[in-house]
Amino acid sequence: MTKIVKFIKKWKYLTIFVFLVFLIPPFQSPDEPAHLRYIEFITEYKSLPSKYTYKNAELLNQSEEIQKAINETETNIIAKNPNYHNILENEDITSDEQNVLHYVFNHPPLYYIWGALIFWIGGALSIIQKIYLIRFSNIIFVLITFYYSLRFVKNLKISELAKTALVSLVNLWPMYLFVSAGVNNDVLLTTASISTLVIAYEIFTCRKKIKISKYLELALWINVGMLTKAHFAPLLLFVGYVFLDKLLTKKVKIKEIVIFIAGLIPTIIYFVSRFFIYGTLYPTPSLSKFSSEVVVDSGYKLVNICENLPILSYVKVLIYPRLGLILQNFVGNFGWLDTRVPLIVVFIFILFCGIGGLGVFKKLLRNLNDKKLIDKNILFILMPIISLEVFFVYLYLKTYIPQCYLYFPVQGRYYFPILLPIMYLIVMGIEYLFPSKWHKYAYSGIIIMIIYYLIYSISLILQRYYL
Amino acid sequence: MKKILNKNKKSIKYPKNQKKILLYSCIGLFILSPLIKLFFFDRYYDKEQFFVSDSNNYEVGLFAEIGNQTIEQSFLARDNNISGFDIQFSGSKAFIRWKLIDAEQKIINEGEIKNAGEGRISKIRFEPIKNVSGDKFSLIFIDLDEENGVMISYSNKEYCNDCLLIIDGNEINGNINFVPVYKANDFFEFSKILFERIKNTIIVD
Repeated sequence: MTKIVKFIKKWKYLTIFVFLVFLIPPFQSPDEPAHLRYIEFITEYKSLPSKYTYKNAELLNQSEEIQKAINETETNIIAKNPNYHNILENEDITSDEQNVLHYVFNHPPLYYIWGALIFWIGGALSIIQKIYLIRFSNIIFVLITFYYSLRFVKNLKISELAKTALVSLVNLWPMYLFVSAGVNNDVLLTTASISTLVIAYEIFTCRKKIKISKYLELALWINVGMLTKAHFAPLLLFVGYVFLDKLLTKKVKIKEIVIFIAGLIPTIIYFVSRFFIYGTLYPTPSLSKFSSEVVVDSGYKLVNICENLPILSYVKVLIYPRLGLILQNFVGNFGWLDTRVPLIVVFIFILFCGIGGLGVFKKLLRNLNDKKLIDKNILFILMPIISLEVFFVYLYLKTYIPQCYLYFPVQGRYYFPILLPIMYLIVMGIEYLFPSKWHKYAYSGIIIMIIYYLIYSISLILQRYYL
Repeated sequence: MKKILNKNKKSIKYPKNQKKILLYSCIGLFILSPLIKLFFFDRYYDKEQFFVSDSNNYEVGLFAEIGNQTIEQSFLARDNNISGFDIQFSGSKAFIRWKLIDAEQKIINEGEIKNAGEGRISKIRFEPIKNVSGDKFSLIFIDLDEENGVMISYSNKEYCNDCLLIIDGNEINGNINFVPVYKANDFFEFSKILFERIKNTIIVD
């Protein structure tokens, strides 16, 4: 373990996270009011939303306390103007806008149950204080992600410096820390995804007998992921492939598979009950009274013109501006996605991913020459990336085309479940493309750049909200 | 002369530890440079914003076209050391010329903005004008590319009692979307302002 990993492991890493928790003003983390409402609802009714509440989503929207806190903190005004901050000295401007809060209730409830527990522990604290408390509790998930990324690099055949670079890229990625410092189920999704991928990779690459506890650990994180967000499901393709590989090579026994499936009982029960009660796995709330008024979103939706549009315009939307938005929001778009880092940062990231892609390609060619068709590391990188992207394309075709959207509202954080494979891709590129005498400089450069980028992002957030 | 310099160069031999310290100091300075720039060089902060556009990062409302319409926004400086403005323009990208005049119509500062427009925020910065708290100023815009006119959005509601927006000679009951920016005198003053604001945001009743 190098000095830098030790440095990150110590309290300084936690300090950065805690600093971010308090630096982001209440409700300014993306979708925070809606996620908080889900938590408040569970605390208030001591149950998950019912069939009735899903049909009458007005009930899900109604939260006097949150609405009051939003007005007091001038959330809407600050969020809607990237040039606006410093609420306390702008006393003249007020907003009585009603917020739509029901739209996250289609997510499975695990993160919100966790949040509800913290909310309940918060007791008599104000809603704002409870936000900070829930944000602070996310530290557990951030640390678990850190632990699993350390576990991942432990068995890699790369230098200590390369391992440090990879761990830093994942855990100090500013946008990941920014999103994790807010009330948002993506923090748990990222933790569950990275944990699942790491355990599956360990099973995949293990030549010895695998302990039952490892399968149960995998089942645990699959439960967590599945019960947190639908975006987790595509990653199961990699898990499925690992099991298939083990079955074909007779390294897994039926008994172990049975135990693993038994470990998935919570997920199975949850989704079977959803299907029988709602007729769908992910019930979506609908507004019975004002559906036409509230749902229409003139910024994104081009109403009444989609019928005459050529199919190519939809294909175009899938690429542009969608890919650009994903990249920008994955690399750095802080605040309510209104505080972008300069494009040069995005281009540097694309360059590194390009190097990674070329490195993987070179490795594939080498494997073909050696008649080695399957490379476990490349599968670990490409399979989750491709399966998640296919999932989003499917979502676009299924949901957005019928609804006549010409703008596909994608956020970069939806891709954090594959943060580890993406960063590993970059390291692979350096490993296979650069001569080994350059590695030391490349990895040192990456570590320095990522810490610099984190500090730069913090200065951007300071300017966005306080100066 | 060259020889002497070379001789001197050769004679400076840093011990290994010193080299390390030098290298780590440079890396440390580089890593902290965004904060060093913010706290020691920029030190910019604002006091208020007169108009908040009404939609999700899109301006909805009234627009004036710079160049084809004369636009004069007056305001009172809320602090000393006025040092610039953040202004949101829309329409196409173009060059804009701006002038800052005082209450006696004397030009205090002027300059150009490249690529204003398309909803982006343009940051105008200049050497601080000192001891101006409470003084009246006016900001005037001239479009240098009138064919591809730049627009500026403004409110139809009064948010600032001490401000006045005049478009084509008519007084408007509103203000443009702009923020006067001030510069703290030193690191300590800036830190105080920043930490006070962070503290006030965190501590909500």
